[in-house]
Amino acid sequence: MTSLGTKLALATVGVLSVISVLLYLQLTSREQQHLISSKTTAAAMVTNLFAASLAAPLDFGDADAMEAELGNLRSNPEIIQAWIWSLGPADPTRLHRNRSLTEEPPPLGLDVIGTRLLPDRVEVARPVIGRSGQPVGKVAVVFSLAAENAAFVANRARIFWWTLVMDVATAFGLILIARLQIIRPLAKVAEGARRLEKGELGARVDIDSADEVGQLARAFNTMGEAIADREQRLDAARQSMRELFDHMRQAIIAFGPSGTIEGEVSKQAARLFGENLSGMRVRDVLYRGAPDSDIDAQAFDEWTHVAFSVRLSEWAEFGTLAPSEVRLGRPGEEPIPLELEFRPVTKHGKVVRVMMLATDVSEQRALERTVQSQEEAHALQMAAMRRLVAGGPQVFVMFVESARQRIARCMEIVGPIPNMLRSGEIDELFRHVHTLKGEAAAFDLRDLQSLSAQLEEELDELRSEARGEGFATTGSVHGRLSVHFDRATAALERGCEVFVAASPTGRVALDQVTVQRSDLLELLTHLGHRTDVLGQIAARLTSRPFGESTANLVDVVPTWADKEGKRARLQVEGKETRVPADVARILGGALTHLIRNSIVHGIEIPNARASKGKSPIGLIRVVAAEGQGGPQFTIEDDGQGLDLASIAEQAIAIGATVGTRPIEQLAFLPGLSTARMSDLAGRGVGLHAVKSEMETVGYKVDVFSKAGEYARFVLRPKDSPYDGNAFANKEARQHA
Amino acid sequence: MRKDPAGPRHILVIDDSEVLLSRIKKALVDDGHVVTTTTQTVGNARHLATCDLVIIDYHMPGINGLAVQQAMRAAAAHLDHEPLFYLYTSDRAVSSTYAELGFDGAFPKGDEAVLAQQVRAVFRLSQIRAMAQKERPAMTPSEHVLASRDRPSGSLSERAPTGKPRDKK
Repeated sequence: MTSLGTKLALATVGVLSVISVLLYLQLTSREQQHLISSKTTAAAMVTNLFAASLAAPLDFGDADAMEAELGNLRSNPEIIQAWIWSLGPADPTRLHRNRSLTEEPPPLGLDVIGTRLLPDRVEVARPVIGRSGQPVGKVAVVFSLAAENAAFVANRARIFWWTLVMDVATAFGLILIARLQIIRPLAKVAEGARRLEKGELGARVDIDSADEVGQLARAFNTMGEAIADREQRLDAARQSMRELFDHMRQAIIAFGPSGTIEGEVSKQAARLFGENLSGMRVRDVLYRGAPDSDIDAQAFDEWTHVAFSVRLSEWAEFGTLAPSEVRLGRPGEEPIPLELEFRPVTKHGKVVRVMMLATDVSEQRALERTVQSQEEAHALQMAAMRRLVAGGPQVFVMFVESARQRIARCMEIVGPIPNMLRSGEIDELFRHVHTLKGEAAAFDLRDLQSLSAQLEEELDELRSEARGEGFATTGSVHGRLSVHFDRATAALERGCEVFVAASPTGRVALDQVTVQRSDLLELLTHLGHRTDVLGQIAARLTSRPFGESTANLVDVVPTWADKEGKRARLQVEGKETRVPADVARILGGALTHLIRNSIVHGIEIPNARASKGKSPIGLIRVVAAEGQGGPQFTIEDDGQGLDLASIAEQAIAIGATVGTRPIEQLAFLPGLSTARMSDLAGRGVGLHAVKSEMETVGYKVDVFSKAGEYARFVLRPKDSPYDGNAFANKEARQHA
Repeated sequence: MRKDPAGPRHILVIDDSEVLLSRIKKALVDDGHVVTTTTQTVGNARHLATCDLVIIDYHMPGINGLAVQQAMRAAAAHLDHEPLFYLYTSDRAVSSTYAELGFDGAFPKGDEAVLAQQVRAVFRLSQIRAMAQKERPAMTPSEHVLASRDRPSGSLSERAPTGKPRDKK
């Protein structure tokens, strides 16, 4: 590529050369004309003088005089020839060649008068006028141009050199100016453009001139700033997009018509599929190690082939034919389930790339499996509960008891070490295990049922072995029998735990039998006032587990809270605590009042709780604990505590005498309520009713509160001191 | 998991194991298909008219899947709509020769979830080919040859447009 400088230099030299040649030709021509003109003028003057000097000699025919005049001419070295013609009446055309400078013929005829210019000489012819004023002859003189020609050659060389020097100097000057004023600034602009192209966004051109090049430089700098600004914004947008992609759950890659991955991939994609994905076939990434016959991989292959030729209007339908899920194989590890989505990237109405979004759904699938197993467990539990409700808890309790005895008996027969079993013992084992299997099926204890079935198979082997001999040794199956019986015991205990967890009375349910209430009341009538052992037994028989009083509250608390725009749950502790019959009769109602009171007055709305750093779900704890003189019951919420100022204000408003009583106790005044009236509270009845009711069975109600943290109501026998141990480890319990 | 956009398909599964059939049936029914299972190796031709896919176990007591497939293909020859016949085996040596045996493809035995996924792929593949054919209605014989060369070997690609198995060379 020829540079602009070279081009300008060549053009300058070319133009100057042409000008110089023209100038040279003009100058040399003028110089020549000047020399010739001077010579011609001088020749004419000499010839005129020569003709005048011959007038007399020719008029008189004086040859000597003519010779003398010719002799005068001989002294002039520039005269080459000279002729003299004499004209007379007798011989008007005769040529007198008196003497000549040379022997050459005369250059001009007798009848020619004038000047003739030849390359090497000038010929001048003039008439000679006699006395009568008539021509008497003619002279012709030939002058040499040798000196003029020599002078011209010399001048021409000088002109040539001067012209050449001027030409070179002018060219040098012009090139220098062009270089300094145009080429170098343009080179700076070009260099700046190259730096800009390489990504050097700070590249600027330092040119201060006010001419067009300076304007170009300023325009370039402005353009550079605009590009830098745009690049920065693009970078920011790209970075933002990149971060967005990288923070998406989906792994994102794009592939072209060849099925190879193009461009960058998201961080999640690199994590799932590995680094350096560019150029890899997306099929190989998704179906790593799949054989050619793998139908899923084949379908994907063909899908990618067709994906780029399908009309856009049909892409939505075509997209449904893509695989929606793959299991990404990993050497030595569980495959990862991936949910796939495919989106076309279009340009000019055609699909140019396909973007694939792959979501790792391992956790979702694990959760689904967990939920499914929990649902199955729940279904089992519900089935068990239905059976229990239908037959009564005592049926299950009886089953558990008999199952324990059967397993114990079986383990006794099998023994701690391999031994010999008689056919009768094997049959007994078989009967126990078979019954166990059937009963386990009746209570939907599937683990126990399955283990019993396996035990049956093991025992069947033994029975077959014993058929001939009447006995069999447990050597080959002893280990398996022991393990299965241990597992059966564990499965039975797990069944018990499910039952206890599902029972509102907890573990007590395992120790209950069904008796007639009327019989118990009659027994209490006879023995209830006694304080001896019989009286105490009668009191225990008629007592009820605390869990019964709270059984229906656990489910309704969230509903009550929801009515108030709040969220709350109930936690019951001490379900097995025995509650005397008279207390149990009114305890349910008292708890209902206190819990509703907690929801309305104590628990805050979720936003308010969140702003205080509390869980959005309020916790109401109901705890029963054995105490001196009878059980104590505590109802505590983790809400805002009692509004003592409002309670005092309301107490005064209803005309109550405040006196020195603790303000908390004013909450039990009839008709006092600090809440607006609603379904749950606001009538000023609940707390007063609780206090009155509890007093009928010898209980008093205490209230404790801390603003912003809790409100606690304690129901305890009048003579019993308050036992705060139930809440001593509050934090630990809540955490647990 | 996306259901088959073409709606429920009728699948016939022939295997000698009742347990396996029940597991396969559950997986495929959960996937939205209508599934008929049988341990009988004869008398299944009555299902062919409505059947889209026949999955046949290879190793069965007293008979192999090849004989069952040949008998059923003969019975299906006069039908307008011939179902696809797929081999179901854990024997890789047999699996790799499914085309020679006249099957349209092979499913690996063992994982019903994988089977359901592969069955979905079979139906997707047939729809993709139908759509590709619609996009490219007039293909010259030479293009057919080139297209078949470009395709991965095996399965549906081995089939002539009529659904008949193509002779293997």
